[in-house]
Amino acid sequence: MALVEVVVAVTKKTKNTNSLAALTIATLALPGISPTAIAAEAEYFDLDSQFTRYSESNNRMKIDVYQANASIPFNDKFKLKINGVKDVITGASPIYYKPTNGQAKMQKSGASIKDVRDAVDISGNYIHSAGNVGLNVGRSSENDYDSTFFNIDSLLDFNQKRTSLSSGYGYSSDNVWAVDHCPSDYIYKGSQCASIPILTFPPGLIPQTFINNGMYRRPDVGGEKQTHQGLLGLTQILNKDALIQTNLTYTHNQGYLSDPYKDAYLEGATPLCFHNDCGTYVHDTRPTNRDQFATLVRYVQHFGALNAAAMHVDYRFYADTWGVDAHTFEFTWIQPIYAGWNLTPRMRYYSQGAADFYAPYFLSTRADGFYSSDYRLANFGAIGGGVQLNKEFFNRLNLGLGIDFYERKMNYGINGGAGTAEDNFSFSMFSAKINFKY
Amino acid sequence: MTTLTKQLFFFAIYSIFLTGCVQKLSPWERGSLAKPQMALETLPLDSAIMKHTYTSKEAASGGYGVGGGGCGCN
Repeated sequence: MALVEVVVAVTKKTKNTNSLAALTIATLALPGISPTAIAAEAEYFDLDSQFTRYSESNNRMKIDVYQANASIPFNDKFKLKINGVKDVITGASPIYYKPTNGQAKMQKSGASIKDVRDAVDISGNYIHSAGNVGLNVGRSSENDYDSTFFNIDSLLDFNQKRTSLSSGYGYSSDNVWAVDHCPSDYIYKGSQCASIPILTFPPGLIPQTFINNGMYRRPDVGGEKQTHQGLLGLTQILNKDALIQTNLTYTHNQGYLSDPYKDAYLEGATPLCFHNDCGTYVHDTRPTNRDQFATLVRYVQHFGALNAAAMHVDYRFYADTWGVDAHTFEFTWIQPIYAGWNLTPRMRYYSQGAADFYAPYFLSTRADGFYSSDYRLANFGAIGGGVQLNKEFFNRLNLGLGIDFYERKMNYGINGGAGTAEDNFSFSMFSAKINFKY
Repeated sequence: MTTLTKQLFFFAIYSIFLTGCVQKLSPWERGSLAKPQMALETLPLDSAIMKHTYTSKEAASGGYGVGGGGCGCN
């Protein structure tokens, strides 16, 4: 990610200089010339913020996202970045699916989800003679999830600075659990559900953690997990108008990797009751290890004859040890129009195959004991697209508006595997952004 | 997809770098590459939220970099 920051950072800087200086700095701002680039950009304080409203179809999730990022230069060798995000989440989400006349019938949570996610991270970037190195630490917390993480990354230039080698490592330690309302027939005393007449807990487990307003932390699901990530990337300038980047990432997850809110219908299972809803379903149960591999190729082409437009084409191949494989194609066209106006249309296609242990519902037990009906592990495809409009004022202020749409359908997929059209949905995202620097 | 198919797929992608189509460039020939629209991430905050959204709604993730923690997204 360091390389990305370098290029973005320096191109912002060029807007504040005269043409000769801008060209000089911009020239140095290329992949592989990152130290100078960061040094130039580090003279400016940069504040970036964005508001986004995310809305899903069928009265599912609605999220308001507030983002802010400040880049603070200390000297020509070191800069600090602070990044904050707040998500305000409301809505409903699928829990499990019942077979009805041979079709999967979704059972949603009801419009009961209310959560807030707060995340903050701080990063420092140090420039040395052959590249730069960065360190990032952060924390994210929700009512039912917390995560503490750090990342280190490095960028090295060689081949007369036409080639850059990036590498990185990230670690995350997370806790996940489920929070729920006290069932209506609970005897409610103070801040506790005083009895548990319906909920079937594993032997020896009773609710230990209660939360205010009739909410409590379920003791029967949840746990800890750790994530290790590694990245190796290469960026190559092909000619004066094109560059290409390829990245390989490997991620190892271990611990509680199930979704504590989701269940799976299993024919013949011991009836499990919750909130007066009894059925032969089991908790979402996944392996405690997952290895993920992704390779990304990004190609960027400049078109001088089209008012300096730029085309971005990305392709990612993904596979994991749960049996999921996926293809992602993205196309973005950035068109400078006039007097600081930029129009950026984009399109995206995604397809994934189902996980080995996924099914909308299960009519027999599995030998490995893994069950998931999580719609995100199903076979499906998705088509998305949107457009961004930006305008720069006074070489200091940049305002933008954006809109994006996404439609997921089972029959859009090309990978194969189990799935259900019951999970078809769409979402829209509207965003407004402001960038200021001085 | 079999393991062999995956290996071949990865090899095909990395063979892009074996094509020998790379040109030598002087610093003054790199002006176009340095323009804002040529940055790999032109809108960092927008890119961050889009990737976060896709990771929350799809099984695939990774490729773009390391960093960030998980979420209890549904």
